[in-house]
Amino acid sequence: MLSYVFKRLLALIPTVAVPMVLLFVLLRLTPGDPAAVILGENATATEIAELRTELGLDAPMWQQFLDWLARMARFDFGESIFLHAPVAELVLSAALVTGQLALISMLLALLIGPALGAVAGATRSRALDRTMVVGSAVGVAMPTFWLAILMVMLFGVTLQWLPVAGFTPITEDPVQYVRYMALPCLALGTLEAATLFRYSRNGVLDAKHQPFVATARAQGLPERTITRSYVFPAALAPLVTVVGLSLASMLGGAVVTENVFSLPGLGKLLLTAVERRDYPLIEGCIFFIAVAFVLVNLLVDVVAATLDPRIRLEAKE
Amino acid sequence: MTTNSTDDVLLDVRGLDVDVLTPEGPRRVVHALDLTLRRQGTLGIVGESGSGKSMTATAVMGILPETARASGQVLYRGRDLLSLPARERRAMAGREMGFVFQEPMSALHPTKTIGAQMAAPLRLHLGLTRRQARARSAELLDLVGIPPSRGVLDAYVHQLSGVCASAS
Repeated sequence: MLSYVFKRLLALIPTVAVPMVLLFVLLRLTPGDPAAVILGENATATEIAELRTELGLDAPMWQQFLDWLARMARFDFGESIFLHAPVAELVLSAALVTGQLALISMLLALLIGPALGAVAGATRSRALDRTMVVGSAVGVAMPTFWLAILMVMLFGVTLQWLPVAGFTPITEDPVQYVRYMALPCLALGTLEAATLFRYSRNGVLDAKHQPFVATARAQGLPERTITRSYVFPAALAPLVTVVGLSLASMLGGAVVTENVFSLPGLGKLLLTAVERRDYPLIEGCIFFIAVAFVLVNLLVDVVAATLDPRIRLEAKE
Repeated sequence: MTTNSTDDVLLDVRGLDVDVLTPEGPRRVVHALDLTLRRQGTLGIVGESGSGKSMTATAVMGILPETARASGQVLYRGRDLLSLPARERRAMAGREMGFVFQEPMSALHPTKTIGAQMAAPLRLHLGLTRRQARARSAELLDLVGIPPSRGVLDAYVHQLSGVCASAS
């Protein structure tokens, strides 16, 4: 197990390096000059040229690439062109917010989704099952921004229970923190719950008809025991993978949710960075997202292997 | 059929029909089947695939798929199993009646150990403790030629050979 994890961590290097190089190339191919963006519409050509020299953008591409490579190898992401702060600091503080949003939303989704899915799959009541399936279909089909805006209108504007947008760290004011985080987490969590519901319902329906259920019946085990300790475990183990993938993509920044609620998270930071052609900041964000993605996937594989003995962890040679 | 030795008859199936619900309506897969099994007797049912052998056996055992219905009479020691409440029928399954499945690999739960799956009915029907059930499971495996040293009790079905799994 340990050597497997170590091998996977080694594999992290190429997995992160490839998107980073691609990113370097794509950024420089994209139209739009950071110097021009920074200086605004009224800048003269000379001013722009001076700034380009200052930012090192006028060097030949191969030289820029080598410099960049040397900096990446030292994890030196430099300073944000626009925000004039170290990229590492900006990314980490944004990732902290996104991390909280992702974890709380996923926790909410895990509390609601699988339980309802298991009930829908196991129940004999067609009406109950149908109702829940329709509900989840709405949840899966609904775009995040729409649900988010509806919630803002209801709880923020009409009822005025919660603030519309913003963020306070939990260390500063826990009550305000909860008030700010409630809506984004609820929006993201509800939609994720709908997805988890579908997977767990299908899992239960599938497991119900497996031959091992007939075996348990032939052994005379009560239906309740069969459902609880034979059907559910077989149905829910594959859910780990789904949860992991969702969590990884949430950690990459819930771009829409963060923008609707003005949460200073990774998604919002990345969007701003792209709009302003803030190369170092974009690179820092993508680097972090890539690493987070790989690490979460590794975690998922380890957890899945402990839950399902059929999965053996083997590093591919 | 002789009628004077009914005490000898363990299982008497009379006019068993099995219908499978299909999208086009119910389809009868077993027609008015009669069979009699005497104490200490062995009965083999032969037929081509799809002729209803498994349906007959699962109907007698009471483990038909959800989409199938059995009607007629399945008399076991004179009691009709088909009209017995589920609870009483369950009490017999795994205690008085056993079932060996065709596909051992899929008939066992993928994420539970063989030991746990063998112990479940022993604990349920005989009221054994976890430890007793484990000891008894080991004995049973030994009886069919799988010595305890093979570690089968703590294995999962995917780690066994087909023969080993059937025996479990």
